[in-house]
Amino acid sequence: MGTGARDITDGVVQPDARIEDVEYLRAYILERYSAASNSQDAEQYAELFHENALWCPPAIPDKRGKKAIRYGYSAKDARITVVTFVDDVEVDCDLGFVVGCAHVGLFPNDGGPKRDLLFRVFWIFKKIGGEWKIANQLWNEKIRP
Amino acid sequence: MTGPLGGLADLEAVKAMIQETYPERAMSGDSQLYAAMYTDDALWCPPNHFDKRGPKAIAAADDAKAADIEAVMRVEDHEVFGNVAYVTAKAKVSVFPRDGGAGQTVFYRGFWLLKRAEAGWKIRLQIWNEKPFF
Repeated sequence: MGTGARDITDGVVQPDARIEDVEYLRAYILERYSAASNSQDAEQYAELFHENALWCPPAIPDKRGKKAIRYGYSAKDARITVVTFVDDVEVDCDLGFVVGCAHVGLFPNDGGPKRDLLFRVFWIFKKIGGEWKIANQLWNEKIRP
Repeated sequence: MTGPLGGLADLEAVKAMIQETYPERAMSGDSQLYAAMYTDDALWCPPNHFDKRGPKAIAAADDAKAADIEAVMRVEDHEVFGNVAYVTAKAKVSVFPRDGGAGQTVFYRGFWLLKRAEAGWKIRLQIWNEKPFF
């Protein structure tokens, strides 16, 4: 177990970096999170999170726990397409964080015009019982370049 | 809660950093003092604005807000894992533009990732968004 955070964002890997955990979390966001977000399946989306996870979307109240997150995902009242990008990943002990972006296409269920949105997203992961899941997620909207 | 290697003193320190030190420095009007809380590679992610990287850029962004603020923070989750900690908090911020424009009160949710530094803790990542109320 490392005694300090291991930063590989500049390509330099510290001697005892938990490379497999870093790559696991990167893939979790790039592949599993994207797939679940695009599934339109609230159950699949909620399974990404720990039981007591905190989910913090912009402009609407936070949700705590998988049940509430499931509801929050369902209540978006639109079909979405999501592409995630990862900028930073670090792991220290059983805590990890991922910083990335999400490009979201929003198709309102009422037939309104599609919106293209860009978000900065911050995920905190915890490894509990040998399993990594999202413990906290907060995102905000960014100006599209 | 503490993870491996995180003691109660560390927990209290990271909570105090965000609940007390952070608002004091944000309200000080001193952008250098504010930016001194951040690591050299810190990422600062405000809503609806471009991200900033590093204390110099963060100080410039703090200067650019051109407003005085009153901020009250309340830490909720906070944990320490070795040399890394995270904190989530709610914030109530009253903004008073320096040009005399109308002030407003805004509610935020924030996340901070902190790293242990030589003299305490510093902020490595910060992201926040607006909330309708608390």
